[in-house]
Amino acid sequence: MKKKTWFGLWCLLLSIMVAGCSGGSGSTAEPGKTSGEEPDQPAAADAVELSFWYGWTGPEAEALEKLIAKWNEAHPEIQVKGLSQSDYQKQLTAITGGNPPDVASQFGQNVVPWGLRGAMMPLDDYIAKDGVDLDDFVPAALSTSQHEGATYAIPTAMHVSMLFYNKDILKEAGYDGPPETLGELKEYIQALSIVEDGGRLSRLGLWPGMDAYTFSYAYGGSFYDEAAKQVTPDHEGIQSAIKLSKEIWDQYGSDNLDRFSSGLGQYMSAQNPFFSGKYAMTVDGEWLPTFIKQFAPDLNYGIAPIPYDENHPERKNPGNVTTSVFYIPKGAKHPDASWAFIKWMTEPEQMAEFTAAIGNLPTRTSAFASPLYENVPGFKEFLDYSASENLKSFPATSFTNEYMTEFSAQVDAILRGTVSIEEGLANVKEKIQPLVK
Amino acid sequence: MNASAPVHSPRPKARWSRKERRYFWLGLAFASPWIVGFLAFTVYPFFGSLYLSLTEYDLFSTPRWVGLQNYENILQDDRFYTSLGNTFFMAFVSVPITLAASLLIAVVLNFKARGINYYRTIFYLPSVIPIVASALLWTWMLNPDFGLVNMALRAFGLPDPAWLLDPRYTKPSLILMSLWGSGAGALIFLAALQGVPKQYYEAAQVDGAGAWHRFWKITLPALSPIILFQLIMGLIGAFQIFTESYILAGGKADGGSLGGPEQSLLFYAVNLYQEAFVFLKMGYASALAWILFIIVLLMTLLLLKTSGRWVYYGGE
Amino acid sequence: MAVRLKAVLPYVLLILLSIVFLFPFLWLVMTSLKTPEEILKFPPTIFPEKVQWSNYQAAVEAIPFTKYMMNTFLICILNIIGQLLSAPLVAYSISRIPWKGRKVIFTIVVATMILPAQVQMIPQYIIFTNLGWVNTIVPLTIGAFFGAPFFIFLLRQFLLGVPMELSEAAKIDGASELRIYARIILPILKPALATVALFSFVWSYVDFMGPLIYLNDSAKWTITVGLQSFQQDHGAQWEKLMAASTIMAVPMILIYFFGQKYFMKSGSALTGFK
Repeated sequence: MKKKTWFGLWCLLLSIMVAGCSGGSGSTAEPGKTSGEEPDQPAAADAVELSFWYGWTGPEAEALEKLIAKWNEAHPEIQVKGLSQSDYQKQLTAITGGNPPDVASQFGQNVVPWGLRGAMMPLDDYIAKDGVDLDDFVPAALSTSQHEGATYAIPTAMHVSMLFYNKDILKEAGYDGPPETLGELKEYIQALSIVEDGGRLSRLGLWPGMDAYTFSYAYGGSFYDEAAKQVTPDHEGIQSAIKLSKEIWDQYGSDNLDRFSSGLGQYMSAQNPFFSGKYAMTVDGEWLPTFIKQFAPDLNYGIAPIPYDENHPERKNPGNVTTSVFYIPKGAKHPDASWAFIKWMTEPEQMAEFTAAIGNLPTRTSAFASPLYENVPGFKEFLDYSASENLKSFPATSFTNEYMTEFSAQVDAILRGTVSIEEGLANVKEKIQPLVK
Repeated sequence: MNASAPVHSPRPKARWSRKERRYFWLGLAFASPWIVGFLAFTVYPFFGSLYLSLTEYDLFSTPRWVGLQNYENILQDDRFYTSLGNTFFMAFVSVPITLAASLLIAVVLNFKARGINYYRTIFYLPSVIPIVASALLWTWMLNPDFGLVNMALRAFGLPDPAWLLDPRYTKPSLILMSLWGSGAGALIFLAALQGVPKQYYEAAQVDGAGAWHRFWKITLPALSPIILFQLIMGLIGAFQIFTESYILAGGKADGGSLGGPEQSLLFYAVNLYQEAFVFLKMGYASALAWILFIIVLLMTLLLLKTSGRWVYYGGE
Repeated sequence: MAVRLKAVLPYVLLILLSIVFLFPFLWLVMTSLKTPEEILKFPPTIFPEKVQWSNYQAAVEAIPFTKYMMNTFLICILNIIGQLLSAPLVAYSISRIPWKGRKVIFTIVVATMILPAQVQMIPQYIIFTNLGWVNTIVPLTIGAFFGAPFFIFLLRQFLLGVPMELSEAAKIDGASELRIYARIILPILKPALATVALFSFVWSYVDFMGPLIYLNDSAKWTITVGLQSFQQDHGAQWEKLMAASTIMAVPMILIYFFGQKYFMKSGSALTGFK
């Protein structure tokens, strides 16, 4: 009799717990209301709902949501719910947790490591079935998504960096145009920076911890010797690039640079240090002119090629190509519907609409001619630049993540003087070479 | 009582009386929520992590047995030693400093001053602020150029360090933050102080002992059990420092930035988190967890063992 | 003279310390009312030139604060319910039912209070992964339904002070143990249960690592993770971050003021822990 009471109590406890859980998932389904501000679509009764996680935030996310709304209107049977989620790592834990989104965006550099691990669904069958023309894609962009014949993601946007310069500040310092060679760049930085009494920096020519990949390629560097299966972080070109950074860095010192950077405003705002004149120059991607138009329309700026090594004029117009991709996570519940959405999103028309809105470069050559780009500031400069012979991209391998993480950690240590250039790069090699299979 | 009483044995021994048996089942039934939870969420994971620590497991494929390989790798991993060093610093420098501050505040509060309730509130308030919010506040307080702390230092003509950006000052920054939260410990000390029998002090006063002498000879011994308790909790807490570091170091899960400048804020729990949930090295991280467990266990035992020499359980 | 100093010294110390402890609060609120331009002006000011109340609205909209707050409160409430259902039962068992084994249970309860959570964290994560509960609030709430050691301990301390005669009398009248628990003990426990509820709320409210590990979908985030992520994405918007931190601290401060005596109760329970 007693046991019966206990049994009853336990059942009560359990049912409350279950109620709690289902209450939880019930409320989690609700946010759909908050993200879909437009009135409910006339969704079909058996509509598939896809969750789509993307890394864009702010105005860029708004541009993407517009496209999603367009898709939802045209496809009542597949309703896509977008979610801005800038922590890309969360996708991996969601996949291992068995609750992945149906579609997600990623950086190109993660595609091959994740694909090989089994976190991304190979798309080759879909590509073949629907006859997607892979030849239409820019080869350097597509290669970031492929490994040994398998395609794990579709690149939707392509990024490359150029040199932005503040025309007013340069003129004030007596320069008519941007620096063309790496030697000139160093000279410019020194002339354009302002150090006040007491060492406090109030303006920098260019942040010295600049994009180590772009500048390594400028010096002819290479990160991986495919034939010898050797990682080559100690490549001569990479060493030269880091030496350049280090020389500029040491001129101001970690302490002053850290202080200066802690007082810089938010990137996506009028307080962006380049917009507010705290940087005279900056190395940044094709999206920056769109931000400038939005946040600092009066900025008098120019766009120039990355300076080249004066001893090697054949390496003019160097650069580092990266991509943004869409993929289907492993364990997604409606892969066919996910693919239909990705395919639609990466068709030239939609690709042009999205990339033009956020000022990115498209990855399909047939999208280049879209009239939508006419109003995109800086697009022409970047489109021309993206045809350069000297653009490279970081090798797509299973250990790309570890390699880039370790490389940037060591570069930081080198700049801060805790290790020498040789030591730091040797550390990278020692740690990464064993991962080569 | 019999410490080895059969908790899990469902069959009470025959020598039990009817009443004893009845109580056994009743007690077990009332305690059953905790017992089930303990088995499912403590015992099973406890041994589960021991097993995992002997495997390589990334959540995608099945665990692969590697024996003691993870432990060997840990002993050769620079990050392990860095995180251990940083954590020991917090345990043996920050925790005692914060405890001393708590004690000081408690002693000052114990003066029968007017408006004591207001002061008590003021000192306790910082410790009710969620750690995420207070870490954000301190990031801004310690901003080298625009922060309040350096503003004050400059006003007094003192040097203004770069705090969270300078590896030499990141841990002192954390100490400042935990000092601000030392009011919680102070209230526990205060409760204990008010429990010290007045006769002790009166007797000492009659003997002509000074305030300092009374503090050393009466107050401290009377508080020693609480000090021991707070010390143990503080040390265990030091090994679990995570949120402060994650926020003060501006942690972004995907990069190497967890751990702050030159890894000076890479604490044990932060390293463990990164290995497990960023790199998905579940086996390796489980081995780290077991090493943590053993360190904490040894430390606690050592403290309890030596506590006989300085902890007084007077009056009982 | 010396006597005068002795009378004044405590006040001087108290006032100095109070100023030091209060200044960060002042800085928090003042920053939350400045414009972004004023925040990054050198040398910095303490009081805003022109008070910007709109920062609060902007922060609430940008983060999205309301959604995260609702998520947080749901988790808090489930945790309170769970603890109130389970912890007093267990405490009752180990303090008022004379059964063999209760000492063992009590010892283990105390021992698990100091067991580092990291030891169980990974297998727990794997269990929840296999059950498909990652990215739901179940892992963040289910534990409460099994009773937290700290609360069991707290309630046991409290129950030790309740005279056994109360139950004896009821027993003579033929009341069952469950009846005694529900009708006699629970009402007496009310103030202690309030302490449990308060602490349970506070712990769930400030928890960062749990939601960080278990909630992948940003629509499900709690306020702690949401605020951290906002800082990550939008970095230097200090006026918004400080405004959000202020709002986030308000429930905790209210709880402190309304529940002060319950917080003190736990302090005295801990002093009994020797």
